[in-house]
Amino acid sequence: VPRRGPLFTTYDAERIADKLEAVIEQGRRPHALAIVYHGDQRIAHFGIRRGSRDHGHGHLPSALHLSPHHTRRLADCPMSYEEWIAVMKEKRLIAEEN
Amino acid sequence: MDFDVVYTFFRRLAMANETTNRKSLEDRIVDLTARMERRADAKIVPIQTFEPEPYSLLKPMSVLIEDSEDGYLASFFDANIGTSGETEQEAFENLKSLVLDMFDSLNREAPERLGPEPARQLAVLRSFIRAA
Repeated sequence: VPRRGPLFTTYDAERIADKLEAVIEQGRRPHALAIVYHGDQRIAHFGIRRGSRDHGHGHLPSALHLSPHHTRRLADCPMSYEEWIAVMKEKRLIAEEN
Repeated sequence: MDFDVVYTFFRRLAMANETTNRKSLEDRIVDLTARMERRADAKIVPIQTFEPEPYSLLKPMSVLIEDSEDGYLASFFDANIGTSGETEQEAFENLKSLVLDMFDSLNREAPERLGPEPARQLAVLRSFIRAA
């Protein structure tokens, strides 16, 4: 079976981090850590491999608790930050606000 | 409003949703099939040490290394942490770095600021790792 190339790249990871207004922490080489907050609550995080914009980021869907299809929608814009938050609430990955 | 116009509108809307859902399902089937084929060749490699980093392991951590579209994916499923590399070894080493990055980052966070999943991840990591 021919390889299709990475489903998600560093470029996609950076776009998603921007979209979710992630806080970027510089980690050990080769990663940066993208941390997503909702209000004061840290709800998700994922590593971004630096170096080339083409590095594979196949772990993004599980880190974001989404299917690959929805992760692609998040990277390519049709899925908004609010829609992702709704998915996270549906999966009870955001604690109920008082 | 004319019944036929309303009916046609909702019929088209339903067809559009059906097409989107079918595309989504097809994508998921292709992805799952590819993942199952890759899993057949996957291997589990234990992390035995973080040396020379100043952390001790309380017990080995099992890492799944699998072939991916452009290299290898390394995953520590217990804490839902994953990354990739051009080779199996690189993916494994990258994962070790990322696990420590996550551990440090989560430990710096005030406990009340951690959502359900990050809190669970930290609890899992603390059952495996101790800062020396």
